[in-house]
Amino acid sequence: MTAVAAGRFDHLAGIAGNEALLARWQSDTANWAVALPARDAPQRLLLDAFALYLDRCDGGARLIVLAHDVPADALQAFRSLLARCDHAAHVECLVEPGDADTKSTLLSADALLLADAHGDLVRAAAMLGTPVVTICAEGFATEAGLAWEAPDASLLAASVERLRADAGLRAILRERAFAWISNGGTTARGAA
Amino acid sequence: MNESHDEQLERAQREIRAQAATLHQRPRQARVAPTAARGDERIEPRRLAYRIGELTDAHYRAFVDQSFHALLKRLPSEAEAAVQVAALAAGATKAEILGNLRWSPEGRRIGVHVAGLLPRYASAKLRRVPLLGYLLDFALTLAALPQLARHQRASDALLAAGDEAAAARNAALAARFAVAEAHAGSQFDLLQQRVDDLHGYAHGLRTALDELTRTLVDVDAATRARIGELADAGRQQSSRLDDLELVRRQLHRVIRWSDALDDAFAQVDAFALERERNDLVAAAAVAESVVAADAHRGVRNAVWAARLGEWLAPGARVLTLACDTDWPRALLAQGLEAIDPAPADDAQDASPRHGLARHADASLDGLAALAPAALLVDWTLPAFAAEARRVVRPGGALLFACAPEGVAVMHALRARPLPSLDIDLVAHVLATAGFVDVRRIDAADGSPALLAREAAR
Amino acid sequence: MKRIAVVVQRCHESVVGGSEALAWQYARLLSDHFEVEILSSTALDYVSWANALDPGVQLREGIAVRRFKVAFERGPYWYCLHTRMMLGLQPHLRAAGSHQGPWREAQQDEYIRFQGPYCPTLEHWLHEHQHEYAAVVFCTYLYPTTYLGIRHVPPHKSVLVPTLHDEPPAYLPAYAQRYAAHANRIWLTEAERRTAKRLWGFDEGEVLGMAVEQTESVQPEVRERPYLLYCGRIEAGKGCDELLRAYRQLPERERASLVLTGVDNMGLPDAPGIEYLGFVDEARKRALMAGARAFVLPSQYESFSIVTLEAMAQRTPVLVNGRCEVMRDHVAQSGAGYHYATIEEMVARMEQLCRLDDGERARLGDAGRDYVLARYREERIRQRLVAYVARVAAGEGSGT
Repeated sequence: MTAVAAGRFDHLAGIAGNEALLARWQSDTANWAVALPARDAPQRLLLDAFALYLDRCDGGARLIVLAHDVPADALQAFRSLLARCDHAAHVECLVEPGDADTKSTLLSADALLLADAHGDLVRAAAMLGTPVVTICAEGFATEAGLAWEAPDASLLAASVERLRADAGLRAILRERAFAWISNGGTTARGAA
Repeated sequence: MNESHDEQLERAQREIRAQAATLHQRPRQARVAPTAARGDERIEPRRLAYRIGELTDAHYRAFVDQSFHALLKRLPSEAEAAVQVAALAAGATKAEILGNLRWSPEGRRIGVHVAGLLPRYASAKLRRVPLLGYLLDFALTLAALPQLARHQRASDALLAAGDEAAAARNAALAARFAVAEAHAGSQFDLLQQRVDDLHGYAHGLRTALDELTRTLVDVDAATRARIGELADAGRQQSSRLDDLELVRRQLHRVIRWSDALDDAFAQVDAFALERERNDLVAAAAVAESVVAADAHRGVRNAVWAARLGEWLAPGARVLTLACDTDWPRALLAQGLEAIDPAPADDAQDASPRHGLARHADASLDGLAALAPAALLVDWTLPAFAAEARRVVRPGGALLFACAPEGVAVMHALRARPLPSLDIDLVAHVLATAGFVDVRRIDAADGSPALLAREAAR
Repeated sequence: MKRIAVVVQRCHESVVGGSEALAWQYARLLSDHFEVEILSSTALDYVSWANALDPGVQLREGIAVRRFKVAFERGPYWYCLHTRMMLGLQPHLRAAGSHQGPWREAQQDEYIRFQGPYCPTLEHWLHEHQHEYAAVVFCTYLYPTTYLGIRHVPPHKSVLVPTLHDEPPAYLPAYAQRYAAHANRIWLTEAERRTAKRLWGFDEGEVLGMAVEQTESVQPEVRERPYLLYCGRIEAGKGCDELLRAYRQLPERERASLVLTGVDNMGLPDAPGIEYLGFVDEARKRALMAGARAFVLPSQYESFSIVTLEAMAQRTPVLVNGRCEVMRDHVAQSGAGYHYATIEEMVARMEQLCRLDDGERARLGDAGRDYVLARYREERIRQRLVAYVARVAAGEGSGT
C-alpha cells in the first residue's frame, strides 16, 4: 500500500467493533448503511430508495443512518422526514457514532449507500470490504463500488438487491475497492 | 464465456438498470419488524420528547445517567458524570443540569424537547447573574415565603415522625446488640483456640517450607549446572551441524557444476560430429566430380578385372577394400562375386584394417585394393600383406593398384597424408610376405597395378 | 538463482505445529534451487499471537526468516465473534448459496483479521516487494498472513498450500471467494483435495504431500510388556479421550500397555496399563514406534499426520480414526493397518493388532514402509516440489 493522506476512519481495521451492535444486526434480512447527507434532496432520495426496497424487495430490511458532522437543522429536517414515513420502525439513527459503532455498521451492512460526498467513509468501506453504492457523489471513485449517474431511488434499491444475490459481483467490487485503496485510494469523479 | 471484470461489472449494471425499471411493478412485501434491539434499552434513541418530571425523579448519579440517556442518547463518561455530580453537590438545580446538557452543542444537534424545562433553566441561569441574580433570587424566595412556610411545617411533622421511628429502631437494635455481644464473647474464646491451632499449623508449614526451599535451592543449582553442560553440548553440536550443512551445500554446488560441464562437453561433441558430417558430404561431392571426369576408369577397371578373372574360377569370391562402388560391377562382368567388408558397428571399425580382420583365415578367393591412400590409414604395407595372406585361400589372387579412386580423393581432401608408394617396392613387400607370381599389370592410363597369387601352403 | 518467499504464521525452532513444520520443510527443500526467504510474524503462541520475537531478518540454518510485528493480540472481541460464528452462523454456512448470509463478507474478514496474527507490515512488504519474488508460497488457508497477504501477489505467481480440513471456519464463504483466483495450489492428500471441492467448489492444483524425513529403520525399544503407542498432543480434541475409553474396554489390556508420549493437556489418569512417558526425543520416539504392536491415531481432524507415516516407516501397523478421510486414505492405500468408525470397532481392532502373528505383522509393516518410501521420501518430494515451484516461477502456471 503506497503512502496516502490518512483518512478519518483509516484506523478502523485495527480497532474492535461494537460487538453488541454486530449481534443486534446479525440477520438474514437486508441491512442498509447510509451516510446522512446535509441537504434535503439527497436525504429524500435515500429514504425513498429504502422505502421502495422495503415495499418491493425485503419487508424486514433495516436502515442504519450514520450522522457524522451533520448540522443540527439538517438532522432535525431528517427527523421530520422520518416522522412522516411509515417505516420509522425500520430505521436506526446513530448521531455522531463512535468509531466502534461506525465500524459495526459497515461490517453489518450489505452496502454503504451515499448520495453525497463522504470520502473518508468510502475509504473505510473499501478497507473493510463493504460494497459502496452511490449517486453521482462528488469525490467518489468509481473503482470502489457501483456509481450511478441519475438520482434514481429504484437504482439504489435494485443495486442492493443485486448485491445481496450476487456473490460474484460482490467479489469483483471487493477486489477493485481493495486495489483502489492499495494504490492510494484517491478520489475521482465518475459514474456508471 | 471468459468475461473480464470490467465486462462483468458493465453487464451487472445493465441488468440492475433493467431490474430497477420493473421494481414498482412487483407486489408489495409484507412488513416484518426488524430484530428488536438488545443494547441499552433505556437510551430510547428515537424518543425525542419528555416531560420535565420524568427526568427529575431520580437523584444524584442516577439523575445524571438518566439525563445523558434522554438528552444526548448515550452514557456519560466517568469524567462527565463526575462534573455533573459535583455541580449538584455545589447547589446547582436539576433544571440547570438538564438545561446545560440540552443546550450543549451535542444536545442541540439531537434536539430533544423537554416540556417545562426552558423557563426553569432560564430562571436558574438568571440567578447566576451577579447582583441582579441575587436580587431576583431574593425576590422570588420572598414571594414564595408562605409556600416555603407550609413546606417547613410539613417537614417538621415528617421529621418528628421520623425521629419517633428512629428511636424505636434504636431500642430494637440495642437489644439485638446485647444478645450479639454475649454470643460474640463465647465465639471469641473459640476463635482464640482456633488462632492457637493456626499458629501451630503455621509453624509446621514454615518448617516444611524451609526444608522445601533448601531442596529447591539444591535442585536449582543442579539444574543450572546441567543446563550449562547441555548448552555447551548444544553449541558444539550446532557448530558441527553448521559445518556439515556447509559441506552439503558445497557438494550440491559441485554436483550442479559437474552436470553443467557434462552438458557443455556434450554440446562440443555434437558440434564436432556435425562438422565432420558436413566435411564428408563436401568431400564426397568433390570426389564424385573427379571420378566422373576420369575417362580411363572404365577401361582400367575392365582390364584389371579381366586379369583377375584369368586367375580365378567363375563365381570366385573377391573382397573389395578401398575401392569405389563401381568396381564390383567390373568384377561381376567377369563372373566374379564381389564381397564388401562385413558391416561395422562404429566408425572406427569401418577402416579397411578392421574390415579385413573380420574375415576368417583362407575364407576368400581373391582380394582387390585399388586405393592405397584409403587402404593404409592405420597400418603398414607389410602388415597389410601379412593379413591379406591370412584371409586369401591358397591359390587365391591379390590385386593391388594405385588408381585415382574416389575414396583416395576423399582421403586427400580430408587432409590426410598420402603414402608415397613405389609400385616395385610394393611388389617386393608382397613377395617378401610370401605371395608368389607377383607381376605388374599397369593400366593403359599409366596407373600402376600388381597381381599376385597366394602360394599353396 | 530465483528468489522465492514462503509465508507462514509462525516460524521458529521452538514452534511445534503441523503447518509450520510443513512450511519450514518446503523452504528447506526449495533452498538448494532457489534463494528462499520466509515471511512470518513475531509470534510464538498460536492462541494469543503475542509478539515474542524481534522483527527483522534472522538466519535459521542458512535460510533468511523475515518477521513482522503482530498489530494486536487475540482478545475478548474475537471470542465473541467466534461464539456467534459457532452458534449462529454455522447452520447457515453449511446450507449457503451465493445469497448473502447473516455475516457479510466484511464481517467474515473481521473474524479472520482478529483471529490473528494480523501483521499489516507483512502485507505492506508483500505489496511493495512482491515483484522481487519469482513465486510466493502461502502456507495454511486459515490465518490472515495468508488470507490478507495473498491479495498482494498476482495469482500467476502465488502458490497456496491450504492444509485444509473440515472445520467450522473453513465454511466461511470469504475463504472460497478469496482463494478461487489463486489456482496454483499444493494439496497434501487426495482427501484434502476432495474436501476443497466440497467446501469451496474448486480443486485445481497438485497433490504433493510432505516428506517423511525420518525413514531409517531403528532398533526397537524393548519394554516389559507389549504395547500400543500414541505420540502427539494428549488432548480430547485429538481423540485421546476415546482412546482411553477404548483401552479400558480392551480385553487384552491385562497383557498389553498403552504408551503415550507428548504434552499432556488432558490429565491422564493413573490407571493400570497406561504408561505416560512425557516428551521424548526423536530417536526415542522412533525406537518406541519400531517396538510397538501398533501405532494408534484417534484424531478426527488431521490434514496429513506425519507421525503416523513415521510409524509406518518403522514397519509398525497402524490403527486410525476412519472418520478422518485423510487417515482412512493412508490406510486404505497402503494396507498398513486398519481404520475404525465406532468405539466398539476400535476396541476390536486394537485387540486384533495385539494378537497379530509375526507373519501378518510383518506383512502390514512392509506395506506401510513401502507406501511411505514410494510416496513421501524426501528426495521424491523435493524433486516434485522444486519442479512445481519452478514452473510457477517461470510463469508457466500450475500443473494440475
